[in-house]
Amino acid sequence: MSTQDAIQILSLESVRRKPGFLGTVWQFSRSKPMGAIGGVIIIGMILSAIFAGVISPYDPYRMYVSDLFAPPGTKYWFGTDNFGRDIFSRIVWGSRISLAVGVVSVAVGATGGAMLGLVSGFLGGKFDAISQRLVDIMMAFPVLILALTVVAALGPSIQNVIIAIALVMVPPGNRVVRSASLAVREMQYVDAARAIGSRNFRILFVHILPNCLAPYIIVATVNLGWAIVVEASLSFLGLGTPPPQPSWGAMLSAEGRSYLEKAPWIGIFPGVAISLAVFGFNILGDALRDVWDPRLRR
Amino acid sequence: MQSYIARRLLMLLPVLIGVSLAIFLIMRVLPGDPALVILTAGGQGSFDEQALSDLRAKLGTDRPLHIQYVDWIWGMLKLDVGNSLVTNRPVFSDIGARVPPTAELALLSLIISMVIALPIGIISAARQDTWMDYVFRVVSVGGLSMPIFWTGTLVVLFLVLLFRWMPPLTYTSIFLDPAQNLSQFIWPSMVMGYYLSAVVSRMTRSQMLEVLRQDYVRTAWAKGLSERLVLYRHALKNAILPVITLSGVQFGQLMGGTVLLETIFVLPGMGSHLVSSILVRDYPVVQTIILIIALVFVLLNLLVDIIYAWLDPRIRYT
Repeated sequence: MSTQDAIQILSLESVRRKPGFLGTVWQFSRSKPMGAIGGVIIIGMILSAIFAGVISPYDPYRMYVSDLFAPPGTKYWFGTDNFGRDIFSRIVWGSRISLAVGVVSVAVGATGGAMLGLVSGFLGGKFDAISQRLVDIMMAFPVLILALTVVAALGPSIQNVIIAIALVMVPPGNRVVRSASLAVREMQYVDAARAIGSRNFRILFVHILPNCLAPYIIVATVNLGWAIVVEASLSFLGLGTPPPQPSWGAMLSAEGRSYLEKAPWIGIFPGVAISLAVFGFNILGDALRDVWDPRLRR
Repeated sequence: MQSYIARRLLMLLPVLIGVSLAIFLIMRVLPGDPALVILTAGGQGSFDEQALSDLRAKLGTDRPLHIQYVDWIWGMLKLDVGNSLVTNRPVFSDIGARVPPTAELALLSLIISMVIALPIGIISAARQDTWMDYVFRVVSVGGLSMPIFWTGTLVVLFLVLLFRWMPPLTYTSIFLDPAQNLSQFIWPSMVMGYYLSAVVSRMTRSQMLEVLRQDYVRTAWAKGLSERLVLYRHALKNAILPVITLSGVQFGQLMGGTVLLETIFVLPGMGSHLVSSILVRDYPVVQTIILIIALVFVLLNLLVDIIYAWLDPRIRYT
């Protein structure tokens, strides 16, 4: 190889810079269009949660008594419910509740579970055995039943719903990150770090943690969708977000359902909102999994 | 095989103790004083001291915690945990009457889901990236995203608008009048079956895709076997194991789904009983139903593991 070639290669390397954030997003959207659609849906939901006051044409609590059961139209886009409240405004404000409950409970539950899994996969031994038995116990309940148990004991309120869902989110975060941590622990660079005298604490946070991030983000994304469904299910049963707050699940609960024949739109639009949100998180999670960790594919 | 089953049963014991302790702690300790919660209806309302101590005695919460726990577990084993606070009938006789509807709903939806999911999964894999594959995949991702209580609501809406059909208010046993019973159970079972089939067909598809790329499948094609034989005898047999595990776990999760569907379709099962008991704070009933559901869930997972080990001898020796 001549010097000329070497220079050419070097210059090529320098041209091929690492893509920035926007570049990465662009590449992801090109290769995973479905994932990008999911991302757009989620961004839309976040915007609607932030700018709920600007987007919604009416006050979500205000009852327009002269317009009970108004069908969808130009005045009320999605119609009004049995109290004459504007369904579109309630759905827009409801995105705030769904997103807040989802994000907080995943941030607390899945992250807590993941931290536990990180440490227990790394340390192994007794700590691992005990923490895994605790997770086994949590996994002995169907998801919705565990959440119901907690809400039954604490009573329905947004705060208690978050506690319940956070608890449900512990096992999935824990299991995925623990197995990642177990695998990373055996890597040569961990041996190398140990050989140069790094302490456990440093190895855990500098070497193992960053390599467990991808599976954690995938699990968190998919579980955000789950958290939204659980919140909606609890509210649907009358055991979640208490009325009159605009929760998507509560809008579909017994009260709305008893007027289905008269006003089907009460039972349709909130469900579309839930499904769209969950669909968004599902397909984004799937795409992230394909890109980062094809082995995790189910 | 026997020793594997014995080992697994032994491992079950600590989990069951842990589960019952967890339920006990959540239901009896988290709310503070259940008697106080019941009397004040969750913070509001007044009460007198006499009523409070009476209710404590009735609930047995005036005794030390460990005695309460042992007493409850002993009651579970004897199938006698006292009376419901609301109906005053024995908790177990109330629950017993509600087992058949839940069991029927669960089994019917499992059957429906398998009938839908397996062919769809196999066809999707065999015809990967054709229009059939895309249609099936969209249908299954849709099924995953729609919460079952909404699908259930839509089905009711559809039936009401088209056929003026309303969920019958009284439950008919399948042994007394099968036609009447099925007309009541077929819709909720289809809703749940659809959801379950979405999960299972996705899994079947990805497993089949993996197996179809194996050498022995290529050999099977090469020696001129029909598509039918290759797909069913060579590929499906090897692809089905993880599908069984996943179906078992998902089926267990559906115990939560029955809560929602029984509420929508007015079925007098365990799930709707649980919800109505939670709403009136009938603690003895609530904690008993939850323990039963957890027990069924754990046993179901065990059953799945045993089936798995029976089908795949490698599992037994690890």
